[in-house]
Amino acid sequence: MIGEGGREPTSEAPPRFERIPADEEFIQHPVKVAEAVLQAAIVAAFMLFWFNISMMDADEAIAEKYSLYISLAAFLSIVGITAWVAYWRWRRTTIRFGETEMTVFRDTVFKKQIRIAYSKIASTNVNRGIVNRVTNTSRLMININSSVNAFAPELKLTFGTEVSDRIRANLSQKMYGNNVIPADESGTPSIVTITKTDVILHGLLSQPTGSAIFGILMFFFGIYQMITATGDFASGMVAILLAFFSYAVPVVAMIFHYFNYKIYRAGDTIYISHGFVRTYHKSFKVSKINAVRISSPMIPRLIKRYMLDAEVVGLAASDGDNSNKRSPLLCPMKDRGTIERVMSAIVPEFVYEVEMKNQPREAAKPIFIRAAIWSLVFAAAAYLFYDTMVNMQSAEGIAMEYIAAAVISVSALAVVGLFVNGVMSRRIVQYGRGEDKFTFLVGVVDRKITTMSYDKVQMAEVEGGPFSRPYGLARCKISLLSSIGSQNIRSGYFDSEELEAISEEVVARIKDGRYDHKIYL
Amino acid sequence: MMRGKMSDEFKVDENGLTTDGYHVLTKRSVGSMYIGNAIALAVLSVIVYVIYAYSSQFYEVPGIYKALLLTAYALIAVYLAVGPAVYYARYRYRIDEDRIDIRKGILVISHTVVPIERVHQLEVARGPINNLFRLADVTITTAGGIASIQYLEIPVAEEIADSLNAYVTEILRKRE
Repeated sequence: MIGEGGREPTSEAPPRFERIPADEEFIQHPVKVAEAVLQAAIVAAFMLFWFNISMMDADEAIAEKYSLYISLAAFLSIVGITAWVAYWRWRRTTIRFGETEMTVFRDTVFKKQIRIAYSKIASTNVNRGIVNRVTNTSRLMININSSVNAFAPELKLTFGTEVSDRIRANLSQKMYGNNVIPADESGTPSIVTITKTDVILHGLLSQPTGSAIFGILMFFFGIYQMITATGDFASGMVAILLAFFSYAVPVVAMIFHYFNYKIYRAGDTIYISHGFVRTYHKSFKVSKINAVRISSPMIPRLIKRYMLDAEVVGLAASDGDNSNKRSPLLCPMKDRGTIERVMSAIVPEFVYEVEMKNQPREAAKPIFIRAAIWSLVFAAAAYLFYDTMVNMQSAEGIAMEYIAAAVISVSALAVVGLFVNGVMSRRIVQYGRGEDKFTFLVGVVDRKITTMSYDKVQMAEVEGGPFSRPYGLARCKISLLSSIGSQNIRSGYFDSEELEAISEEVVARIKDGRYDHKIYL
Repeated sequence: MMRGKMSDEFKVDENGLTTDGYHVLTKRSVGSMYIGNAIALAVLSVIVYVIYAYSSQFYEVPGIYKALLLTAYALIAVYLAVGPAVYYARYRYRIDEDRIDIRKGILVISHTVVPIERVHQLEVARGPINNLFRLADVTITTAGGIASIQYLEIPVAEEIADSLNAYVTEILRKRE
């Protein structure tokens, strides 16, 4: 449901946090020291545990006698040194928030001063793990608008929750010029209602089709191996473990990650919060979005489910250290109508009327030539595999009729798959251009509709291969800043001149002033 | 534009420009490419020889594997031998007031356009082979990726880097 709830977040909302004067100095919460010590203790304990295990195998009596004392001494030394260094760094690191920039100064042996202009900050995010919840603290993550540091936030600062909220509110004011503050987050209704079922469905269905199929196949193969008399229990276990790590773990991680999902827009800023154990609060300006993508792997598409995400530089880093490949999700799996309504409400800047064109008839030729080449490669690989198995048969006594049947079936399926992919691709892959945006639709199996603004294109490359050039066709590669640094988005085969028009438009907009860099600051 | 038959469009006038205003590479670049490719071929030959000569000592390699290995080697050798001439003939670049435009390729021909407004960093780099031929590459870094103009004469490379750098600095200065 869109726009439910009464209160619309507006820029008139009164600020609830005291303004931070330029001369006020902050130091982080002491839990920062505890976190460092805890991490070091875990790593040290793990390493020393293995050291002790290896010592048990040693023949020398002295090793057996003293290894425990050595380990204990080493553990205490590591923890002690870490605590001392962490305390020293914590005590001597100060943070100030000036009128135009924030400064972090570390006055230790290795002196460091980091100055970040508010205009360069792409997003400020709050991340709360178990330690933070227990100690009532928050980790404030600040990302700048740079592809170089997209994988890691520029600053990770830990403060008490109130201090963190106050800082974030002040930063929000300085960066976005609005008064929407973190304290409003709990009271502001989400633009779309995401139920627990939606989150579970999103976790289950949003995995790429390849890993879903692999996981399911491995699971059933493992079960078969474990319960049949001819099967091998150990290989069954391995298959089930593979299924577990390739499919089950990402699914559970995704469900935990997007639990209690909420999104709303206030002025030009989008706020997203979610998380079950660790909670995430992200905020970024709409102008920092480089592309918006509607995607749907094959399985959810069968039940007409799609998801919406955006490429925002630096946002991958907001998830912390364990999941830095995610672009911010604007809507978990929902029906297409809801996705389009969310898009209109959250990012109307990326909604436009466009006539999408299919790949031209001539595109069938390079598509099928590629399919034929890949089929040949696949058939050759299958033959070589079969040949190798024949050579091994004399030694191992493998039933060749089964191997041959399997190789022929897999090869035939692959060849058919490649040609079906070609036929479908002719119908599915599309390209459309509007006044200030353009869209690529790609993916026969896992479909993606990416809408990009000309003003965000960093580089455009039109490539024509030996099989497409004779028909005047080419493919286009667009380089953008993205959540993970930079990303290339490729089109299908279209008339090369139509694709060249993208770079022409990018340059024309810069030249005639339609591109205004100030809009994107 | 990319129906690319080699034709008059590669003829160079007295200013060193093609009919559509693109620069072509200096002839010396072909020598640099050939030396680079010769080194690559030598390394590849050693690898293929080692695989061919020694693999049979541990495992009875079926004839088809050896045939495939030699075919792949021959194809790569032909590519490395013919590649530089085609690359040279097709390489064109143009730097206008608003864009850097590079067309290149052997089998796949690419046309890269980098708006100058998007340029973040410029670098002139010379490897030992290029140094031998007094050539350099200009690497253009944008926020979304990297493009390069290769095998330029050193003064040309430095002039391009300087002028682009000045232009980018001017854009930034105007914005402040």
